[in-house]
Amino acid sequence: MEDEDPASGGSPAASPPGTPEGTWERGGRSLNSAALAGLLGVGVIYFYGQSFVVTIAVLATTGREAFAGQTEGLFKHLITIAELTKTPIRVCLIVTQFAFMLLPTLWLIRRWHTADVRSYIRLRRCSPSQLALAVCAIAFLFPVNIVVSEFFESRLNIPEKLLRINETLFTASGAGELAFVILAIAVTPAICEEILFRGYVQRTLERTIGWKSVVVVGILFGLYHMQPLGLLTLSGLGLVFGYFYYASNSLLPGMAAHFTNNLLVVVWLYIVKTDALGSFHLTTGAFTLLASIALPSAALSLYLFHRVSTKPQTPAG
Amino acid sequence: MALAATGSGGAFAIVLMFLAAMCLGAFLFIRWALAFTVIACEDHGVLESFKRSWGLVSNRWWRVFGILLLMGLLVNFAIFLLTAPFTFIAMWGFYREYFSALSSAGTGQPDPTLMGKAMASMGPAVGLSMALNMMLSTLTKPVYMTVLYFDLCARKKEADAAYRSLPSEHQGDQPFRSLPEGRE
Repeated sequence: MEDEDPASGGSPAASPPGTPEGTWERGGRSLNSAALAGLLGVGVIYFYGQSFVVTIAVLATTGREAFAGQTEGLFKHLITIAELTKTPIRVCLIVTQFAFMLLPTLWLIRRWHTADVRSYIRLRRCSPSQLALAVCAIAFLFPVNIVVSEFFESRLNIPEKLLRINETLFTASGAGELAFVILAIAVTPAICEEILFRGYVQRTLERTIGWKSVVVVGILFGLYHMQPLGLLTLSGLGLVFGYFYYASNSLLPGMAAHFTNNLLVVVWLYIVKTDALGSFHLTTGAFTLLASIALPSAALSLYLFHRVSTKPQTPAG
Repeated sequence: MALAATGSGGAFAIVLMFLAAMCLGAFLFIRWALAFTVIACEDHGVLESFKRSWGLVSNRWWRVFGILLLMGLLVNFAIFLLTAPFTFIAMWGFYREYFSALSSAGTGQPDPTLMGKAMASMGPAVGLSMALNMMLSTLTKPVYMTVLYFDLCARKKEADAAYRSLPSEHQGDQPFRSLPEGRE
């Protein structure tokens, strides 16, 4: 089973000829175990490291205010804390994603698999049409994701104020802040998470289980975010990003799609916050209508992506 | 003033005693961590297995501590990822009631019965979710404890004896070897 490498034309090798192999490859150990151990190891470093850094940053910013009496009411207190801590948390997100997610992943690939990290993670060019179709598909899926999220939120009766507090981290109120939020919420995860999930875990699993790695890593991507309400949409997005990676043999379409999705969230929240649309408001009903139009468009984009990514079969296979 | 000083001194002493007890507890926990594995692998009695675990861990306390800490973090993280959706589904009713209570608190007219309803909504599904969690951790721990046991035996040059003490059906075709001299 582990000798197959469907995505790379049947060759099980991790490195191009002449590149030194890593310790895991030389030992001929299980690639599935490497992917699992890598995902869990990086996960532990990232989540515990991030929790520690964010706790320190929040305490340093708020001091005793975080534990002060809630004389103004619970929500007002939470809003004050969220506003005070949003910038340090954003900085922590950028630093910890690069330091505790990206660096350990690159180190693991270099040590366990190959010195040619760039080839391993498939950081290579793809066609402009693949990039454009990946971006279009994700843009069309955006209203669908909003409708699904709102459905769960309404079913759980989550107070509106609590949702707004939760969105503080992703919401910018000016152009400068918007650029910073895009860096923290759209650019950084598109690089770090794509290299861990698609570049390492999916790439390693692909060598043993082929296309099934798209499904496995897509679900793991949803679970990894630890957002039960977003599990369905995040797993769906993970599947689509994984498919882009699998079909195009390149990390770039997935990165572009991931960036687009997060960018749309940030820009949408910015528009709502700054009231840029004026009196024009999209109701849940309007979003549902939009989603019902956007879903077939997303499916069409995915189909076209599949068409442009399918390589013509030569007689030799 | 004197009373206040005595009070703060007493509190300080209690904190110190608590910390000392924590350290002692951690020390003994690691020293005796392999007792159950020894019972299973070597078929010793209870007291003897604790003595054996003490001996295996001697001079390697920090190593065992590090491995157990790391494995604990890794296994808990994996179990959390796997069981989170089940827990969320099991807790759905609770969350719904909880958020309703929170919404009504925001309006200034909290409904005192809502928290009771929230607690009541935690039905058998929560128990099933906890059982799944416990089952996974109970299944995983013996695996890495057994690997750790054989690792420590090999480092003490006792792996062959430990391996031979296993029931014959649990021994493979190839003999198990302790680490060669000079290798740690």
